Amino acid sequence: MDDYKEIFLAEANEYMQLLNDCLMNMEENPQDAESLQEIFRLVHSLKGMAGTMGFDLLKQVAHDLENFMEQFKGNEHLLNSEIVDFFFESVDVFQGLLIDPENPGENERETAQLYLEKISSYWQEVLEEVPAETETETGAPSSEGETTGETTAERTAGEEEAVSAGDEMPAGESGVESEGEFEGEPAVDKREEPVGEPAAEGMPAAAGDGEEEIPCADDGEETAEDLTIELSEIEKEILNSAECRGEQGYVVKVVLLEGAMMKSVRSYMVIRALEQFGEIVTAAPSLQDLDEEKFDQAFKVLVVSSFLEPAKVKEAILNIAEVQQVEITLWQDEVAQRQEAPQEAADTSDGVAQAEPAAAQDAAGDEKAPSDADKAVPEQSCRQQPDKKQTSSASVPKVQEKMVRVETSKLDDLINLIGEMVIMRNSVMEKGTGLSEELDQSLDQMDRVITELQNVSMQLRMVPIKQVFERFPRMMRDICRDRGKEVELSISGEDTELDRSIINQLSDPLVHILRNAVDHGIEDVQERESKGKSRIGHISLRAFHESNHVVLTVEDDGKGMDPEKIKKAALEKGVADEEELSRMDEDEIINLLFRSGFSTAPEITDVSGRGVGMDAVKKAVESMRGSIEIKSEVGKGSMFILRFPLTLAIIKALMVRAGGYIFAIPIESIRENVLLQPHQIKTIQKEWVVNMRGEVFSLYDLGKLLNFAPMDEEKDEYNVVVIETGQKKAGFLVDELLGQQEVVIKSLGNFLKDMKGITGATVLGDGRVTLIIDVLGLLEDRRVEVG
Amino acid sequence: MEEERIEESREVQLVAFMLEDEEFAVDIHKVREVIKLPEITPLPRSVDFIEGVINLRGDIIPVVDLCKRFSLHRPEERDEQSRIIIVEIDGSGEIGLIVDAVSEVLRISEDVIHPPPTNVSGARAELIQGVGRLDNRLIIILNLQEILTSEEQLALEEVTITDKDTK
Amino acid sequence: MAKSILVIDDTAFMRTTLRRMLEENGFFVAGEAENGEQAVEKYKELKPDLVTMDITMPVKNGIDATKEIMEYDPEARIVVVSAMGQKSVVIDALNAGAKDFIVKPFRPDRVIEALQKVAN
Repeated sequence: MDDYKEIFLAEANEYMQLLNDCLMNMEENPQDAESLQEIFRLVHSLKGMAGTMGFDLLKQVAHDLENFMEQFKGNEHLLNSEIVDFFFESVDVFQGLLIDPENPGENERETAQLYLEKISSYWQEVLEEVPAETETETGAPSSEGETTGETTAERTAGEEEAVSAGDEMPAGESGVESEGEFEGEPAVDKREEPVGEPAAEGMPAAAGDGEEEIPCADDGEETAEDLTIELSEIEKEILNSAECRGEQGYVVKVVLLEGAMMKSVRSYMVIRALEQFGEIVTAAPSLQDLDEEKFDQAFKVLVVSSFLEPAKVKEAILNIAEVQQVEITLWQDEVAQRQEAPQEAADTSDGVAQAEPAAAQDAAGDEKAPSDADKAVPEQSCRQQPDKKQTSSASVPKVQEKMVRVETSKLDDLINLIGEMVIMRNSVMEKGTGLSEELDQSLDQMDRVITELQNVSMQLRMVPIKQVFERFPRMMRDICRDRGKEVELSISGEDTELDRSIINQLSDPLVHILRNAVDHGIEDVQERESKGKSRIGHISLRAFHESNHVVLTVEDDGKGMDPEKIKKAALEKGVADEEELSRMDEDEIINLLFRSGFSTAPEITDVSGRGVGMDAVKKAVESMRGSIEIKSEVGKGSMFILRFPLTLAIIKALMVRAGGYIFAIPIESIRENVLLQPHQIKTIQKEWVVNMRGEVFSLYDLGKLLNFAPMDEEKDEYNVVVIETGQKKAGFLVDELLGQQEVVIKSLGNFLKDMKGITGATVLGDGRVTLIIDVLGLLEDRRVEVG
Repeated sequence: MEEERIEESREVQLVAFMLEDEEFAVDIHKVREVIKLPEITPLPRSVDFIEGVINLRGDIIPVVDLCKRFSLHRPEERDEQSRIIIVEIDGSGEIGLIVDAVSEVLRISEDVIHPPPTNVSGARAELIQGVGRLDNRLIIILNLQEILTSEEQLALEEVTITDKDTK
Repeated sequence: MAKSILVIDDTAFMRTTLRRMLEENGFFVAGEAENGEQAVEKYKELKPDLVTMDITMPVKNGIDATKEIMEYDPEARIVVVSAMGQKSVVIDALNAGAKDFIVKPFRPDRVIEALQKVAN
């Protein structure tokens, strides 16, 4: 049970943070319906969790608060800063109760009881302000049924206003929902048309929290917005040509469940499903708006198809979670209905109408023209616009958007193929250059184009790191609260771009490093002050490009790492022995932290339950072909430096012959190539070393290191590839240097991916597989035997 | 070709091949293709039965020498008849199996297949899914999942250390 | 017959909460897993009708686990569980083969609705 409690507390505390954030937003705009919805949901979830754990008082407060908040749904105009302050108080109450939720202390109990009473009294006040329908709701949480009834009544009242207002609407206003089913039933249900209220989610049929999933009748339909599909010239063309081909336009109206989360993903799923049945022309609101969740619950999509079976489409879309309703009508029918709109005067909210009279007029104008033609049989429209068809058919874009959605697998395929092309280009260049001048020219051109293509393809995979960084400020506030530390997080370089596959995996390691910085880096306020440091600690998170890499740094001005302490701990935990330690410099000792089995804190203070250690962070970073190191100064602070290659798939490599085979060494790891004379190579403790311009580093026979044939011992001169990666520097002795080349990295597959020393393979022009050296891995894994 | 109902027992389809003079087979559904031996790039510091990797239309596939895997004595070099059978290992990817010759596609009924004999010990036993009798042929059916088991993976890494020491 | 579900999440609390929710609604929880690697193993072992898969997990995340499970069993029905604001990740999950998604904090009715829809 204690286990669960830990975890419950972690979640609950996260909610507190989220609640705070939302309330802060709400403070700036108390009547924002979305904020209300957010905090309502948070309190609701808290209630649920508390209930599950049996923390009754906590649950009670959450319960009453939740019901109180619910009053404001649809009545956001009643919210003001005083009430928001009152909501803020709840966070304090909750946190008091969270100290010991099973057995809250006396003070916390009293505070909670007091708060409950306050809720009552506020409720009364609010009741007085809200007209009629909420009278019966005093303190009755299970009033869901009644709520529904009341709001319906309210709606009917409201709707009457709508009708009368509608009569005065400009004739072109065409916000009619064509409710007709495909079977041709006309069913404009006016009951759902609210007027004048900035209804957040349409009418919450089931008391807003969805505990009862049975909305009454046709409730939940969102018609507060204008869901008319407007066609641009090009889109009209598309429709026309489709109709000429014998296809039909269908309007698919989808209504999501009230309170559906991540609506943009839902709309994406709907569109994806629809693409199976035909071609998407446009949507209302626009596809862009759908992506940005600028809609309430409903949206429409216009699809053209020759084989669409409404029943099947409905089934497919209704099968998506949180989709409440699907209606399909013929585009022709919808257009026809619009013509009749002015007579019906069934209209939507004034707000919308007022905001878009101009648009409405245009829409009316546009629709009137083709509709005249439409009255006749489709063929006529085809005949009447033969010219337009010709000129525009050449350039008919599928959808008018600035963005397109592409499946990542298609992107990956494209990039792979471009990679293959790069390899082939290399081979062709090799064989073809110098044969004839004409050929050389063509080859040059081809080379240029392919290089450009390669650049573009690399761009396709690049994504700004912002999305990873975004979560951090909030998370940091949470962690700091939790640990009782004060830290300011500054972030720079959010626009730095990284390969998308890295982006996804970066979050976890970074989170851990940040947590670590707060836990073990930044001292608490007293300590800092006594040391003469600023009260508030600083952590800076930076991202930037450097040569061929993306570098991320997390720097704190905390207490830094003490090499002596780390040495001791390393010995104690058996992470390293005396001998090894004696050969290390301070930096290397500090980086011992990355070895498994390490933790300098006596107990784990990380409550989140993740428990990812530094060794796992390093593994994660390295699996992305990156490197990580720590630099630190006792008393001053620490810095974590992560480096990632800019592109994963194609790299420049130096080809070398060693051990009887050819290998590729990534250029990014190479500092330089040198030729050494035998006398320059010294032996220290059975290792070969060289002193180059004052720096001493080890030399290794690459062939031997890889378990292949060793070099000839006696040579006049030795080819040495000096490699440098992160902290490590060394020289590889090879038989021959074969020149630089761009290579496409191919994975070794699941069975071999853990091979130390090899980071992948590439295929040379002749089809042979060449292994790519993982320099860091090779060095770390070495066992010194060279004599 | 019609499917005949053979009372209850089902038929299994296998690709049979030779390793020296013993006959083996694998489930045909796992076989992707059979190719002649291309150039094989050896892997440094790997277990001896992993011959290396090959390039199969752009994919890098590890290749296992089945004779070594079964610790069979190998008298001759590989010849014209040698082949690589590319098989798929559930959930992990593809590998190639070097065999001396591919004989045929067999259809045998399930009840002709028996579990591996108890006197076969150690690693060999795990690799065998069953033994089929056909006329007077004894066909050893491989358990593909075990060809490169995870213990093997660890062994791969540890071997790197010991290999160096023996040099 | 009740549908069997494999519940995957790295926090015990979520797994317990989900389990309770599912069992109260007629599902049979065949097993649990706490990271992507375990998820794949358990899937192969239990062959459940449905899977709820948390996206962010250590060792192997939900998207990779989804890909692997889909490779192993193209008919697998995986519903991913995501926190708010992880839109692109959810889309990646859907593209990796997940049939649908649910968002934390949970609304029990939505969770059940989604699972029932996916179970068909």
